[in-house]
Amino acid sequence: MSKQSQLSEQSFTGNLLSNRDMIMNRIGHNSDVVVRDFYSDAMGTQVMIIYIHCLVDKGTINNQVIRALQQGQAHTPHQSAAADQGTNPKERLQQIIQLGRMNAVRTLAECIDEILSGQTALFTEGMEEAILLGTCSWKTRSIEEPVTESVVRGPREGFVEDLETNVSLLRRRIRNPDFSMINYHIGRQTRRNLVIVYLSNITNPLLVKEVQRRIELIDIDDAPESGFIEQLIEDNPWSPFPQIQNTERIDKVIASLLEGRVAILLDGTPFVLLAPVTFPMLLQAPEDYYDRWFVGSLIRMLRYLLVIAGLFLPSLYIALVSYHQGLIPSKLAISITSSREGVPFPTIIEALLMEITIEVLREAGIRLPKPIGQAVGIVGGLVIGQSAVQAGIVSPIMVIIVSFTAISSFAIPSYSVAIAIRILRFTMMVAASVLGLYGMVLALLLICSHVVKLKSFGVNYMGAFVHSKSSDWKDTFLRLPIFMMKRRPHFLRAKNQKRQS
Amino acid sequence: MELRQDEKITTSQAVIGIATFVLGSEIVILPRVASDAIGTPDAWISIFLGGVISTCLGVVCAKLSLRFPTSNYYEISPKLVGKPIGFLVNLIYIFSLMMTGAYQVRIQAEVVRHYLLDDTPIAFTAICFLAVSTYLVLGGMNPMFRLFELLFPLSTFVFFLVMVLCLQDFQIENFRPVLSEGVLPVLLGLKAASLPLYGFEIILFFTPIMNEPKKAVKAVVASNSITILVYVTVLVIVIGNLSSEVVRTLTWPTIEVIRSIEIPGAFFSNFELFFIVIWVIEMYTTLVVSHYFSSLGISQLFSIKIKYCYFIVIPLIYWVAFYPKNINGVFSLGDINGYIAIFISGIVPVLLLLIAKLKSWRGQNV
Repeated sequence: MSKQSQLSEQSFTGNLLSNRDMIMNRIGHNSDVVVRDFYSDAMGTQVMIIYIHCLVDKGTINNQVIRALQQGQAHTPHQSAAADQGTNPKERLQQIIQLGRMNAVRTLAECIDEILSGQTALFTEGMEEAILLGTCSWKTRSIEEPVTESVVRGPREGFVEDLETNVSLLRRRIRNPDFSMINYHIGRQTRRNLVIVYLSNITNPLLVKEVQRRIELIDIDDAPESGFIEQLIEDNPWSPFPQIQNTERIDKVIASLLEGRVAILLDGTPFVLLAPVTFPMLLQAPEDYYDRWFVGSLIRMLRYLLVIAGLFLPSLYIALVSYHQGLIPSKLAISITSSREGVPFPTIIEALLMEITIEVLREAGIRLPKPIGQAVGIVGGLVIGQSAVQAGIVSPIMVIIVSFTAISSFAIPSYSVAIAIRILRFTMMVAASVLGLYGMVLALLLICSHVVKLKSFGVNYMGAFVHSKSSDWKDTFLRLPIFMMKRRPHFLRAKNQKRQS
Repeated sequence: MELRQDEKITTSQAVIGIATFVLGSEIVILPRVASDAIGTPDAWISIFLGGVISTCLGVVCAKLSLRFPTSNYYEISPKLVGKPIGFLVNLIYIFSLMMTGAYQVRIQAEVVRHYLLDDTPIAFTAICFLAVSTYLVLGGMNPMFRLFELLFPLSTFVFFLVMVLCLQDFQIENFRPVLSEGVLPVLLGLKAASLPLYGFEIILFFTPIMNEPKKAVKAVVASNSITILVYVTVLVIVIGNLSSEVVRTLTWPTIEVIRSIEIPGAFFSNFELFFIVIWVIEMYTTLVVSHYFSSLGISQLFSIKIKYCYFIVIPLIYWVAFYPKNINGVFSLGDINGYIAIFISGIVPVLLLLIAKLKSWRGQNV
């Protein structure tokens, strides 16, 4: 640690050789560090450039930097006259080098940081600063449709791993001077770039401050994915519910920014974090807004039903069959009893068997290559289901219930919510097997008690359901026509509430 | 521009908070208790009258709390009547709250045994119920109000839906003749019929944390209207379905009525399921309020950290809940609780308000 602080205090001298030694002491042991030392006609002095060759665009270095420095006079005839008059070498460099991005740093630490991120450091004899030239260039994945969040209607672009590309994707769609970014380096060892993005004329400054405070507290070797950031800054790490939204979709991020939320982009991952988030928000899909309003509203209500089904269906079956047979309508009761004939297990074991099988199939399907994954789905779903029933291990109704539950959890737009529901489903099943319907009510009360305690960056997790204005209801169960949603979500306490007039 | 919005409760949260505290066990037994006490089908008149009285008393409580906008019930009484008497009043109030909680625990355990889990020991269901309540209470006051806000619309909706389904066997003849034996039975039944309406004195705790304390009176009136509406609906529907003679013989008349709903052609007929579910939720909210505020009382009276009080209260509530040996004992526990409630939330606030007025007439700065 002491070495690091020493380094950051070290600053450059006017001597090229000592500057070179300072830098090479830190990074010179690597074979990809290039030092070029040459006489510049344009400057009339000895200059030196240092870069890491796999991180820079060689064409730029050759044409815009080296050539310009060496043949500067040919390009700008008046230059030498200026040189003779003895203008500041920094200003002269500005005119000689044909690059958009240049800035000067004084300390070694900053300079090395930038060299490691692909910039080229330029020194001239007698100047006590390093000029950093924006020469970064590397391969990135092309922009594709996000696999995890596909839509029928809507833009097909998704974020990629490169932070600059991601910011540019946002910038291109928000032409607004209030688009604000705050840069951070995350990771003591890796110093990854992280950007907080928000619209300064909409977002509550207290929210931005809180996000900043939490990001600044992060002190970790590396954050390879935004999931690390999410887990480090979320409000309650003991909760099964996701308290920060993640998405690969550009339109989702833009919509959230316009609601007054904050986006956190991390280099190296296409997943952007959105904070704060409420539970109803996690059940919204982009198409709710792109389709006409009653389509969106109906589908959204269907989604709420699916959450309820995903949470309660197996446990309801367990409770009814093992405790309250009298409450099942008699015709249904007869068919359930006849289908359960010969099944040796109590319902809870039966249900757990099938649920765990489904979870195994799902997990296996993700890990395997796509074509095989589908095969596993077919083999698992059809063959195991069918043969388990024929073998008399589970009843067909149980298979129906378990598969319906699984499908309903696939229909939830947010994967992390679907996982939370899956976890809680097992809790409900255990509760139902211990105390029947009453156990389910208690488990429901427990879950409700938990979610009302939850907060995401100071915002109630249940959103419009608690402590809200009636206008928030327009976008919860229903998605009212766009012309009726004139205000941003009230609970975000945005600076500027009005969306349209 | 406040991002943190939870420090104070809104008026609607206060309304729901009071209503949800008042509505509890009585929904399932009120028709029997009321018809028993009155003997004629006029119980609904008693409820109305009782409602008017309780609303007046509620307004008294709200006025009292408005005189001390920053103190709750536990802090008001020592200020007005001196420490020793105030201590006693607070102790009685804490006990009354715990009894209310205990009564909910026991009644719900009995109903659950009767209708859902006949083999499970009621002690187990009661302990689970208390455990879930403890989990919520541990989060403090604001999550409580948020939970009420989350569940109250749902439970009210289901409640009225079920009540509407009960309408098909409704016979207006069951209410005739009106006032057949004069006004006297109605007045005599007033006590029994208005007992379930007590609980509005909880406003004395809400006013200091409301974001618009001036609306305390409105909040009490609004929540009392809700509770009166719910109780009158229950009473009218149940007596209208079964007639008051039959109602008197049933332990849980409301659930029995709902049980008998049959919609021709409908696949499903066990509507009491839904009702018991939302009713357990109502019981839970009542228990949570009594759990929290009795812990608060113990914490303030004996200056113990409230964290420990949440757990001190649990065995006390449990002990009170299981003190009665049988169901009749439970109901007489409810009666005793009712008398204490009349004293502590009816008479005491009136006296306190009078004392406060007297003091301010004498020019004392209170």
